[in-house]
Amino acid sequence: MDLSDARITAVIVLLLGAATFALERAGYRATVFAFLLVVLAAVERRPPWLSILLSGGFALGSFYLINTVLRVPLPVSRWGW
Amino acid sequence: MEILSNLALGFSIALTPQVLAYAFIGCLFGTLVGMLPGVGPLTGISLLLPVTYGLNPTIAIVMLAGVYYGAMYGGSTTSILMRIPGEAASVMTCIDGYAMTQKGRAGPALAIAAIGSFIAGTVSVVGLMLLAPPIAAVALKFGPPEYAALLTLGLLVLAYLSSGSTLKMLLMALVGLLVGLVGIDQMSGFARFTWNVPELADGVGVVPVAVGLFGISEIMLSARSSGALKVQKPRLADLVPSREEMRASAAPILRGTLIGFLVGVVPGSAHIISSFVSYALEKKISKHPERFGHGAVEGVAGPESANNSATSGAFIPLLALGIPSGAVPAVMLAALMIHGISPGPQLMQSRPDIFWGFIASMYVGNVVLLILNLPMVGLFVNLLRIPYAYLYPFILALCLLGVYSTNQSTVDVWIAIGFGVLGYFLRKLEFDTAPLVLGVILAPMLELAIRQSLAMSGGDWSIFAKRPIAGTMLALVAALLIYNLLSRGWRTRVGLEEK
Repeated sequence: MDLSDARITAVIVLLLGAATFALERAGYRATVFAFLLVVLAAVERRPPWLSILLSGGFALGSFYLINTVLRVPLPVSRWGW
Repeated sequence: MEILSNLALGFSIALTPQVLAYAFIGCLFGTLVGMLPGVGPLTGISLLLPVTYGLNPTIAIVMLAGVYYGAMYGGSTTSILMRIPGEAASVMTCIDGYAMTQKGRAGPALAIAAIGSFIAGTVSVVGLMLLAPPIAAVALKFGPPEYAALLTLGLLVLAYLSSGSTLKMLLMALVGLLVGLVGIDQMSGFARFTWNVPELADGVGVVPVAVGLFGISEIMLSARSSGALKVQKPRLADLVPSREEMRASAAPILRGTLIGFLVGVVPGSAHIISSFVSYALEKKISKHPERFGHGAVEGVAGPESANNSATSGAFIPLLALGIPSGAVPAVMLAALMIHGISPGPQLMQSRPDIFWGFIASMYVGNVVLLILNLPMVGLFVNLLRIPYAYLYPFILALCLLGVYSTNQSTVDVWIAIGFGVLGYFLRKLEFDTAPLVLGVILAPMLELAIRQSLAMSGGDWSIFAKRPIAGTMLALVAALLIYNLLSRGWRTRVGLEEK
């Protein structure tokens, strides 16, 4: 069995696990922002400014679309974000 | 005449602006997920499922069906232009579609694929419309023993018809059945295999299982291919096929439509198998089989028509019997159940608005897809210019979002991650994971049908043999198993003799 992609698989599993753990504690927006930022900037080594822009845009945009427009509740942290 | 009046009712629902808008969104989203490697129709439907909660059930199923057949259209674009099947059913289109692209005939290949898909999609909906009501009428006579026998037969046929080892398929179906048994026992109310996790009382959901096995595991397997793809952009003027290409495609489109529809009705990965069967048939009956693999237009027309036709065929068992024939209809069944609708023989009488609205929306959806796919193909392929390193993190975030919002439960997300890891290893070991998903959704139905049958007979198992329909279906199950054992024994003996 070819396990040459085992490293990236392990990284994905760990990051998904961390995001799942944080989801209801830190809220959807912060969790998804941090998850995307880590994958884009640290794992894929993309430019930091672009990673911040894309992660922030997706986290806020998807929350607005799903939670606010389509009214499917998404987790919010105890601090309200 | 009754069919026409029912169809008129369907169109009165399907042509309302709201339904049209959601059919368009479903088709557009489906086309995009069909084009993106790593996100098939199953993941697409699972991701869109939470969005349908606030919608009425007709709109929900219209949108989700749009994703299904939109993905079939979208998958062909990447196959023809880049030799990358966006989803598994487009594998056969890669061979001659890409060869046509290399010869500078990408436009006609895309046009033939779209026209073939449109004709197949439309004709097969007529078949669905004509066949589903009589099948449902017969199914009304079914009791629990007949359903138990039918579900057993369906699972077994799936294992036989899927690609790869039958033993592996049966093993996957068995694992799916075991996973499907988690949760509260429907007859006694006892919790089984729930490990004191309250969220597991309702069982393991089909969405986290499907997203894990088909979405997350696919990302794990393809995350390293991070480069941008080289994309050819066809111009609108280049799309017109020649008279010769149109003539050569006509018969393969009709044959593909018929094959796709018939294969679609039978349980299994219908759209994948149908395109393989269609390609093999076209090559076999061609006067010039040597042209196949070098840009034969029949090799695009046949499989593309077959995989689109199969999507309509696959809805017959779901709508008429309430039994999904594959992983995608299984997720559609879950979607309907979330809305409190049980597809099956009673659906046509109890909710004609849903049944006929859905049928009519499929006609509309095929027109929407033709309009979407031909003029806008150049626009869509731009998506593939984005390097995969930028795409996969967002697909993972969508998986997380889709699974969580189904039940607002992190337990479901953990399950999806677990099945993602399982899917990664299973696919490395060349297991097809579709029977596992089907097993998960069929297990509660099968168990309930068996136990209700036994309750009817006071625990006497012969009830399955004594009832004619159930007995016939179980005899078929036995015949299939015996045939497989005998042919395996024969092959082994021949193999030994050759040695």
